[in-house]
Amino acid sequence: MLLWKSWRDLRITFFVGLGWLALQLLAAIWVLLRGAHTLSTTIATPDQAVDSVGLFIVVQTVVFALISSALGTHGVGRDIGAGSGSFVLTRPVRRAFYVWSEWGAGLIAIAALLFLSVLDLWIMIRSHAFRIVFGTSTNGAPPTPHAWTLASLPVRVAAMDALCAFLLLALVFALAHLGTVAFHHSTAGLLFCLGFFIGWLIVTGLIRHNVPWLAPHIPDLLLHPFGSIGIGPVRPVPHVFSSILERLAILPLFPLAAQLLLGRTEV
Amino acid sequence: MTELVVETHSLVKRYGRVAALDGLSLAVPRGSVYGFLGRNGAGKTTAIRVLAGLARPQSGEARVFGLHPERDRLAILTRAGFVIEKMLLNSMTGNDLVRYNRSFFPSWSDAVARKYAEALEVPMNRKFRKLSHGNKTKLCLLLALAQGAELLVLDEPTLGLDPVITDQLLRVLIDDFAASGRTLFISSHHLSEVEKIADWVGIIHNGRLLLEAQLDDIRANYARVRASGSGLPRNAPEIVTVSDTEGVCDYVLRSGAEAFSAELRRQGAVILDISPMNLSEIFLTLVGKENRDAAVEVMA
Repeated sequence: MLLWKSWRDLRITFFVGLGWLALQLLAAIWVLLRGAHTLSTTIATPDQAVDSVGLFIVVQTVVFALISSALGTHGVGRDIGAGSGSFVLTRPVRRAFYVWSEWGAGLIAIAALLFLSVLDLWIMIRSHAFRIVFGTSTNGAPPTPHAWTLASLPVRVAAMDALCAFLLLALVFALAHLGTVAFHHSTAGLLFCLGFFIGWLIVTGLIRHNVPWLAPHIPDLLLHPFGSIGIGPVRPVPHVFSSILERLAILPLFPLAAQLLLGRTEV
Repeated sequence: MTELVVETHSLVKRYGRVAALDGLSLAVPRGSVYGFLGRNGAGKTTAIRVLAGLARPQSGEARVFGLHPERDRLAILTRAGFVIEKMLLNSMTGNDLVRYNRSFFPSWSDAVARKYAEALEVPMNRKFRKLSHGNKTKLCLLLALAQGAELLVLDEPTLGLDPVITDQLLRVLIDDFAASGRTLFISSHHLSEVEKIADWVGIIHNGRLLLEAQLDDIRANYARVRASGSGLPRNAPEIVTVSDTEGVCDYVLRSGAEAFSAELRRQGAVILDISPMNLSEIFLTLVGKENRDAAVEVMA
C-alpha cells in the first residue's frame, strides 16, 4: 500500500516525463515525414551524427535531471510539511518503509523513463538511417553508409550509457528526496539538490585551481563510460566499472540518511 | 484496581526555553470518556503527540496500554486511533483514504466506514483538499472509527465546527464508540461539550495537570461558600481560592463544604451561601490568572 501511495504521489511528474518523450518522438516522426531531405543533408557525416546524438543526450540529461529532482520531492517529507505528518506517521508502519517505498517507486520511474528514452533514441536513429540508406534523398545526396553504423549501436554501449545516466539521475533523486525529508518542504528539497551540485562545482573548481595534484582524483558527477559515442572504436574509459560500483555503493547512503532523519523527526 | 489505558508520570517536553509539558502526570482508566481540558497552549496537543510517539519527552514516562510510545509505537498504533491535525492526504479522495488505511489495521471494517460515510454524509469521491472543514473532520473521525481501535485519542475534534456537526460527531463518539466499552480521550477547551460526554476530566495548565477526577465527584465535592465575619481563615487544605470583598469571603473548596461551613460558624461567621460548582466554574477557578500555582488535585 505504501508503494501505491508513492506511485500516486509521483505519477503526475512521471506522466510529464512520458509526455516529454512522446513529444520528442512526435517531433522526430514529423521531421522524418516532412523534412527527410533536410535531415539527410544536415546530418551527413559521422561527426555530425555523433554531435546530434550528443546534443540529444545532453538535453535529455538536463530534462531528466529536472524530472528526477521533482520525483524526489514527493513523499513523506512533503506530507509532513503539508501538515499531514501526524496522520501519515500514526499509521502502524515503520517510518523506514516510507523512505524505501518512495525510493523504490522513484527509481523504478526513473529507470522506466530512461529505458523509454533509449528506445526513443533508437527509434529515431533507426528511422533516420532507414530513410537515408534507402535513398529518399530528393536532393541527390548519396546514402551515408555510417548511418547504419550509428543505428547499430552495440547494446552494451547503450546499456552502459543508460546505467551511467541512471546513476546520475538517481543521485539527483536521492539529494532532492533527502532534502525534502530533512526540511519537510519540496522547494527546500530542490534547493538542497541544486545547492549540492553548485557546491560540488565550486569545491572541485577550487581544488583543481589550488591543489592540482588532487584534481585527477576528484570524481566527475557525470560519468562518461566511453571514449566516444557510437562511432568508431568504442572502449570503456579506465576504471569505469569501479566508478560505477563506487556510485552504486554510495547511493544507498542517501535513503539510509533519510531513514535516520525521519526516525528522529518530531511532528 | 482500575486498569489504566494511558498513564504518564512527570512528563517534561521543552521547545527551546518553553516547557510545553512541565511534569505532566495522567491516568486514564479503561472504558472511560476522558475530557482533557486546558486553554490554548496549555500542552494538550503536545501530550497527545507524546502518546502517539510523534514527540519525545526530555524526561518522565508515558505508557499506552502499558507500552512505551516510542519503543512499541507500532503495537500502540495498531490498537489506538489518533486524530491530531485534521489534515489527511490532500490528493486522495475519501475512498482512496479508506483503501490506503485498510491495509494497516487488522481490525479495519469497511462496513463501519460505509456506515459513517452515509450517516455523516461525507462525500467520499471528493479529494480531501476540496472538502469543507466539517467534512474533513468527519472523514478523519470516520477513518479512526473504522480502524476498530480500542482507544481513540482526539485533539480538539469539534474545533471550528457548527453546532449541528458537533452534535452529530459527539453522538457517534458516545453512542457507538464509548458505549461499547472502549476508551475515548478527547482534548478540548469547549467545557460544555466535555461536560456533556465525559465521565473523567483532567485539567491541564502550563504543562501541568491541575485536576484529575471523575466528573461526578467534581460536581459533588467542589463548592463555593460565601461567609461574612472577621478573622476568617485563608489557609486550609480544602481551600482552592479565597477572595475577600468588604468583609465577605468567597471560598472555592475542593471538598468538605459542609464541614468547612460548620467550622466557620463555630468561629462566629455567618454563612451566606453554599453552592455546588459546574465544570466551567471549576475550570475558571483553576486556570484563572490568579491561580496558576494551584496544587494538583487527583480525586480517584
